[in-house]
Amino acid sequence: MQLKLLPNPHRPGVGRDPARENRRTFLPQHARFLPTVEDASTLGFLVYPPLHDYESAQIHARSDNVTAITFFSGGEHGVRGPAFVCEITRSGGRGGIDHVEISIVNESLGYDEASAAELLNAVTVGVNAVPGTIGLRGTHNFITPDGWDSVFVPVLNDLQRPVVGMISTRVETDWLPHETEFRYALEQKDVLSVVGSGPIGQVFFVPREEVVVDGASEAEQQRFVDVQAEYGAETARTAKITDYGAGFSYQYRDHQKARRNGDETPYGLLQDPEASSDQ
Amino acid sequence: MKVKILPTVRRPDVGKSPTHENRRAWLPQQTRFCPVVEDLDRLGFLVYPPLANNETLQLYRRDDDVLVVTFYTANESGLGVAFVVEVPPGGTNSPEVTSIDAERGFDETSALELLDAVAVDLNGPAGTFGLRGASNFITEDGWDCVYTAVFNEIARPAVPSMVTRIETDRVAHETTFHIALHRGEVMSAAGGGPIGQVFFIPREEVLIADGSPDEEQRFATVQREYWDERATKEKTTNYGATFTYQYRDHQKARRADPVEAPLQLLQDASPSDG
Repeated sequence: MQLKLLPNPHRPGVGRDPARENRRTFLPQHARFLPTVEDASTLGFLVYPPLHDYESAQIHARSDNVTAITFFSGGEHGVRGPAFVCEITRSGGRGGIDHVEISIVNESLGYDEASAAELLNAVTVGVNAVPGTIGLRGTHNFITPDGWDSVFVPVLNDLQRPVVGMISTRVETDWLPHETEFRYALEQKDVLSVVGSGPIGQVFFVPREEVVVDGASEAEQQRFVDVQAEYGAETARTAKITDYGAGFSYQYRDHQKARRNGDETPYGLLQDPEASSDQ
Repeated sequence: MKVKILPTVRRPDVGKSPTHENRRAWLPQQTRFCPVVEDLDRLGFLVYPPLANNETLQLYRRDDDVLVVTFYTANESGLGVAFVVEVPPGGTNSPEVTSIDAERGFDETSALELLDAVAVDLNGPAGTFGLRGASNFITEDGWDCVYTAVFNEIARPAVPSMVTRIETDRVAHETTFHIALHRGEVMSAAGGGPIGQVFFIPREEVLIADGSPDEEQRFATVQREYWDERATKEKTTNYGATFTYQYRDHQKARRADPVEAPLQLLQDASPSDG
């Protein structure tokens, strides 16, 4: 599957490239022994905001219906300090014309009202488009090949609290020029941080292919049970224990590698392509 | 892609079959006009627990790290507690049935059997457990299952689920959604409600390249035209909310006739020069 990347047109050339990462800093270390977790964590790509590593933003949904976005920048001594604050007061009634006020906190960091608004537009989109939500733009937009969609989700397996919900989307990015956006839904008092070096979401790609469902035949059901029993017994035989006392096994990875290398493995396909449901 | 479904072996005839669902009850109604949200909501299948419609499970991690599992059933006298099981942290201590209502049809053995059919790896490490699905999946050669929380379920309190990707064409994997509760958190599972979502992904390498200048130009031009067109198609509900059917219209046009559809592919057919 060939994917094409385009830079964010609002701030091209700034921000990290999409990257894969199997680890999640705040999961227990034991999760390093869980290949099925790490395979999901490395699905698709992590996506970063169009910020330099020395830039960051804090989004605070205040209890007075104001979304306060504070931009921080590394000063000449590398100390990160607030550059400006944008306060967006949500409008009542219909129309959604919010009140926006930008205050420059530290002029020496090089922003005036116009450049602050420009940066804000490069990094965020549609504040309160659905009330309480904010879109965070990515460094890159994605063009998928014919028949493939992009799925935009929060970073998978990022479980630490507080969890700020995100509205996930599936977009037909082979024909639709879609600007990468992760839309977070903040409740009052929620705070969300964005840093140049940290991902704002994850994107993966699914083919637009129909999934046909069938009941497994009796033979397939029996094979499932047999393979599961053999696999469980093998796991028990091959289990290792760390000096800390935690049990683990490399069995899943060993079989995965063997299959990819085309080597013989004890486990064949579970599905019988010829069989149809006899349930 | 053909996927075969088989019932959980522990409680084979109980629980709903996997289904598609584009709606999310607790999202704002305006999201009914967001096709890209609803297309994701119906990705793969919602998966249900092996519980009957009148059965509900509550899992609560107490401040002393004991995981308390309370099983409710609804009968003619209403919803009531059938049994309560406490599981100390550590993963090696046996669950203990601390309360049981024999009139709701359980004894200690059948209570623990039911618990094993519905949940796995209780409280080892503290606060974690797996919820089993009513169905297992066998994918075609080269396709994996990805098990995740229900997409776009953002109502608080959010109890996140681990996401796993498994080579279910060869691994006989029992559907499980792993959840980690913090102290004081509560999670419920009901027979009529999904415990997670599963979708399928080919084990295909994703190659990445920079878009060519032509592709970049096309992206910008088509984007401008799309938004100009969208402005002409906008409708307003009587409540004052705006929406369009433009994305769905183009989606349908491409499915009906990809060659004649007004919006064509954004990628060059020729190899990348990026």
